[in-house]
Amino acid sequence: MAAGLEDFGNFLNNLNVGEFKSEPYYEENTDALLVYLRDCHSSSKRLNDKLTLFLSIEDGTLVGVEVKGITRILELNRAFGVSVIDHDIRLGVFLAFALVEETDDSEISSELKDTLKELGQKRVPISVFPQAV
Amino acid sequence: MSLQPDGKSTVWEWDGFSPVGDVPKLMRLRQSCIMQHFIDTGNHAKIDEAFWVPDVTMKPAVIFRGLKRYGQSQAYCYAGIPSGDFARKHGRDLDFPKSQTFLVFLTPDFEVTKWRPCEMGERNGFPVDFETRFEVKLWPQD
Repeated sequence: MAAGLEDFGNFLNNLNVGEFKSEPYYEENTDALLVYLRDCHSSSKRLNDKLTLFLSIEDGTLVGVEVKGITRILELNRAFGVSVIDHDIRLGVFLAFALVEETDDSEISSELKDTLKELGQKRVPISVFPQAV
Repeated sequence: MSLQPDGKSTVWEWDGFSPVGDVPKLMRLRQSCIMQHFIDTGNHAKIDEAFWVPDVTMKPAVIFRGLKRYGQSQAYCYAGIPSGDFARKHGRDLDFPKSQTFLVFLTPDFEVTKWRPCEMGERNGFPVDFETRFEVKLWPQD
């Protein structure tokens, strides 16, 4: 039997949550890969229909990214032999696909671009994606 | 995956605002989905934001359908400035950031998939660029 909102509020209040760690998450319903780098409040900035950035409410720095259309990216990745290293794919592969679509460059500061490039080195285990296993 | 606090994966259900008609829509959030990821990875900020999900799904400023990408034409997005009532009822006073609205994404059968603040546009509670990023504005019909 499902629980109600009262239970939901109590659940949120009684959670015992540990230290933050940055791990990728594939959201299957929306076919999106989410990666948070820090535990802080952020606002979403949609760059195009493939890429959304999460920027700190306080200082606008990068908190995380969401890449959408993952199934298609994985299909192209497989078809064209883009690299999978030790069962990982670099996040940069997804970011590059997402940035193929034209975006207004003025919307991203050079600092933010540099952070995105660094983030591209992060490895995403292929096991995160049920359709790729 | 560590399920908390009782070792079970819970599904929460509530009556949300319906985009059509007066009968409330049964909405659902599964612990085992993104919520559990935020718990496992210690993302306190995203867990705090979850307090705003009931506020916005029960009293949105606007409801959209269609996210303008493959496979997402029937997905919903509810947007609005959370009242904070749900958090306060549970002893939490969370400040919602200024100039922002809150987005809650749902499947076609009204299961919550993710949530986030987003820059607000000119209209109160509406996200910036809503005209171009969603397929249909379902409610309000003006």
